[in-house]
Order: sequence, then C-alpha cells, then structure tokens
Amino acid sequence: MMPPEDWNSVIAINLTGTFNMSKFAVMKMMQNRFGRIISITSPSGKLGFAGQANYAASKAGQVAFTKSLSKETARRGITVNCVSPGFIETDLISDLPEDLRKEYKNQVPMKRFGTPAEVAEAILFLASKEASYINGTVLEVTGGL
Amino acid sequence: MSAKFAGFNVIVTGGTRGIGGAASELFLNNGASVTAVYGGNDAAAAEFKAKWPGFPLEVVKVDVSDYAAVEKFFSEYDILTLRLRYWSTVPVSEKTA
Repeated sequence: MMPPEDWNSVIAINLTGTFNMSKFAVMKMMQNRFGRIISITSPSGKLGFAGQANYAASKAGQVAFTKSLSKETARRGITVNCVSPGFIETDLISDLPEDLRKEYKNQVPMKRFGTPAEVAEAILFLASKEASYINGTVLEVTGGL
Repeated sequence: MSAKFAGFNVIVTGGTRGIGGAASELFLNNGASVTAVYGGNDAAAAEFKAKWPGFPLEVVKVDVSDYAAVEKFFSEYDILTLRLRYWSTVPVSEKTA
C-alpha cells in the first residue's frame, strides 16, 4: 500500500502547486487583462495507472481545477488550459527497463515516444495570442494513445 | 529565432529539465522573457542557465507546494521581469554576467 508521505508529496507539488502558482499568476494577469495558464496533466488522470493513484489523482485534479478557473477568468482575457502528454522521452521513460519501454511503445499508434519539443509546440500554441478562444480544454499530445 | 512572443513574460515551472525545459527553450527562441522555476536540482538549473548566455532567462528555485514561498516569488517577480527586459536590450558583447 502507498505510504501517506507518497500521497501527500505528489498531491502537494502537482495539485497544490498548480493552485498556488495559478492564484498569484492570475492576480498579475488581471492587471494586464491578458494571460495564459497551461497546466501539464497526463492521460493517467483520465485512465488511471496501477501504482500511481497519487499521480493520477493529482493529474485529474488539475483538469477539474483548470475547467473551474477557466470559467472564472474568461471575461478578463485570461485563458486556462491543459496539455496532456503521453509517453515522452524524458528521464521518467528512459529509466524504465527495455521490455517495458517496448510494451509502452507498442501501445502508441505511432509506435514511438514523443519528444519534449513536440509537447513544447502545443504549450506555445496555447500560450499564443492566436489561441484566444480556446479555454478550459485539454490538448492531448499522445500520438493518438 | 522568431519574435512571436516578444514582450511576453513567461514562467515555466519545472522549466529547466524535460518537457518544461523544452518549453522554456522554445519560448526563448520565440522572443519571450523566461523565468524557469525549478524544485531542487541546482546543478541542472545552473547547466540550463549556462546554455542560454545573453538570453532573457532567469532560473529561480521555488517550492511550488509552499504557499508562502510562491507568494514571495511573485512579490519579487516584477523586479525580476524588469531586469530580464533590461538584459535583453544590452548587446551580448557588453554583458559581464
């Protein structure tokens, strides 16, 4: 069973951290009547993942937080959205054993992991002035997972 | 290099490594001033900062789960962004730090 410290630390950073940063960012953005908040969630927040109840719960919580905040800030030119990356070539993935990497890769319709740069492109799009009518949504960058 | 994000002040949490690091880099390459917030890896943060000499990039250690720490970070943020904007107007050849 998961020790309470593991539960608390992941919720504290991922979910409470999202609240803390968003709260103070919104106050600055309101002065400018413009802002973009993009939280990085995960498909595990929607699908669940064995052994990751803390992580999955924090990621699902970020989506609900995003949808709520987006309704509060919409009239002030501040959009709030999520990007949900699938399997991406980061330390998290490179530390996995080779057979597990192969199995995960097989689950992706594109049969490869994404790159951090491919996720960054989605983040920049949502941050741009052009994404002005996109609010309270989750943009999945998963290769079709 | 594009100027699509010129005049944007961007905060990227987890911004010195992985996906956050890639986002910081893409924002920098598109003209934004970037404050990359990191949680604990000082070495990675210093390495990241060193990769972008002359760019309006600041790396700041903040425990985002700590409400008071986040409040302090934002209370200092206006000065930070002014400094970043100033730096971005100084030619690289005249910079000493």
